[in-house]
Amino acid sequence: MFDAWRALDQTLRRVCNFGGFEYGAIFVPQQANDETFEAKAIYNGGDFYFPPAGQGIHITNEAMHVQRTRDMDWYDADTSAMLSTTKDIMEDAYPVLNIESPMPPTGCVGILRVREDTQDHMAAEEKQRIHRNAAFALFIMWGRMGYSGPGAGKPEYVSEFTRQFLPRLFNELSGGLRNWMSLMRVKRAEESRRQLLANSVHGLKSSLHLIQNKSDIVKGFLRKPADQQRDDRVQELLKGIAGDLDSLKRQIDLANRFTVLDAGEQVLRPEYRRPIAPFVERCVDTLRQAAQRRSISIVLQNSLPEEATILCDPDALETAILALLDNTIKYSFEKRTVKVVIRQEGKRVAIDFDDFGQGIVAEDRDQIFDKFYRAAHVDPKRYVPGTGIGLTVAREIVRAHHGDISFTSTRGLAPTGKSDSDVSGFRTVFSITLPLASN
Amino acid sequence: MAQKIYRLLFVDDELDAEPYLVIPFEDAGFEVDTATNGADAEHAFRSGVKYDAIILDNMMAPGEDPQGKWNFDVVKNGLHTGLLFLGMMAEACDSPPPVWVVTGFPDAEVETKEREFAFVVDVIRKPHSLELLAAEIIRYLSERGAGGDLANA
Repeated sequence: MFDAWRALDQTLRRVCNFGGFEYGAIFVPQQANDETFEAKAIYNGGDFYFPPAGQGIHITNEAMHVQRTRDMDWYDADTSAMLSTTKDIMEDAYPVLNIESPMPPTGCVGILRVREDTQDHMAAEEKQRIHRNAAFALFIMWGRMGYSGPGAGKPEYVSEFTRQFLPRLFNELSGGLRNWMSLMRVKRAEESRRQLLANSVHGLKSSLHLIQNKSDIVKGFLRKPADQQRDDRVQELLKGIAGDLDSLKRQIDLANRFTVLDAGEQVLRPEYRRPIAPFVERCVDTLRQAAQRRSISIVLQNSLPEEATILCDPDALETAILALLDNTIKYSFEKRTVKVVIRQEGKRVAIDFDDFGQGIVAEDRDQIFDKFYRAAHVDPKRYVPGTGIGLTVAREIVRAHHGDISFTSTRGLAPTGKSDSDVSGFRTVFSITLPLASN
Repeated sequence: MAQKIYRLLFVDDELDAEPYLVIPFEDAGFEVDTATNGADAEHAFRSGVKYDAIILDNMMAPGEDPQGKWNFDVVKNGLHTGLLFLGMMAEACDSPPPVWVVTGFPDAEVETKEREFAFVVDVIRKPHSLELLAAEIIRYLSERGAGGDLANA
């Protein structure tokens, strides 16, 4: 019989845990005398506990109390509430079970409680109702298995149990599950905000740090006597500041897009006709300087006729293309060429972002579009900064344009220009496909 | 009397793409060596050069060393690179030079551990002025009469 209970217990425990409940059971296998039952075995956490005589849980018709023993560390919370709930449940159960005696039948009392982390988000009455109904149903269910008193095995007992209590149990468990899922959504949203904030703040601070200090350096240069070298350096620094400001703008734009997207409030209007090649070219120009800082050149190839157009939400699509290109530049090895290729695929346009660099290892491939997911770092000489939202946002925007993003990442060797030192890495190609607009 | 010239080790991965960031320190009179990851920073520190001060970015790539002891697993995705470098300094010499830790990714637990090193003078959060930091380091070193007089060396 223990095996059957163990199986039922384990199943219920899993369901309860998933539903945001916790659950224990007191097994009452034999009657001590007319007035008192003594729990001979206590079932909890998947194990039976056999308290020594005179210890453990005693149930009388007046009250139930627990004599704690050193071995009962598991029985740590809210004992009196648990017991009073159980007593109430039994009183409710007796008439249903057609038991005249106030004593519980030989069997097992199941106790189901709302877990503490779920309780925080639940009204007191709701909690009480769930405790009572679900525990009642559990009690009946458990009692049924070991019950040998009056009415045992009678069809009406079984049908009553089936009709009334089983649905009650599952209603409560599914209610708990809904509650739990809602709690998880709240927790996930909180975690999302925390992560986004931490990652975004890091990026924003870095850009501000550069802008502030480059401005100071420019001021310092301008205090020195004018010469060509000074002016060249000032020009270069000012270009750098413009690039940093642009990076700042992109980070803020991406974070804004993500916030809207994550709240399920993204509304795009892919209804503005734009020639695709110049559109992509502008995006490439935006990031040329960022690429140059890593000695990376960007080559743009277009095999589409100039009049090829798409219908898009221009600001959003620009965000998506910049996010992909930025990603390509960040993960490319230094001193290499990143290719952006615009080509036709039937009635669609494909835009490829092709680099040789850190790539995407097999373990990362299923998750790289997940929000906040950052690919594993593989280049020990370089920490790649980022927020883990670029690809998530880009894909959602592209999908809202009836397109999609795919990628391949293949390990290989690439020439370094020196005959004996080909470098090992990944050739990675991200492809955006979008429907071409009909003329 | 010739102005003292202090020797500074400036450790920050941004210096790869932004070499200009050393200028405020050079203008303030420092002789600056740079490193952009954990292994390179350790190599510079153990090179025999006596640094008067170190600026240490706390989040960097591990870099590569022959023993392979610097890697992304030990530096916890970059976040503990500075912390591990400080530990290495404490083990490597009895009186390490003063360190100013710079962070763009504040983490209370990491920052608390960094401040436990007696030679960490401050943990500074980005953005901050490098000009002011240069002045602050000079004031700190002058008050303690520290530093070599490279100009007279």
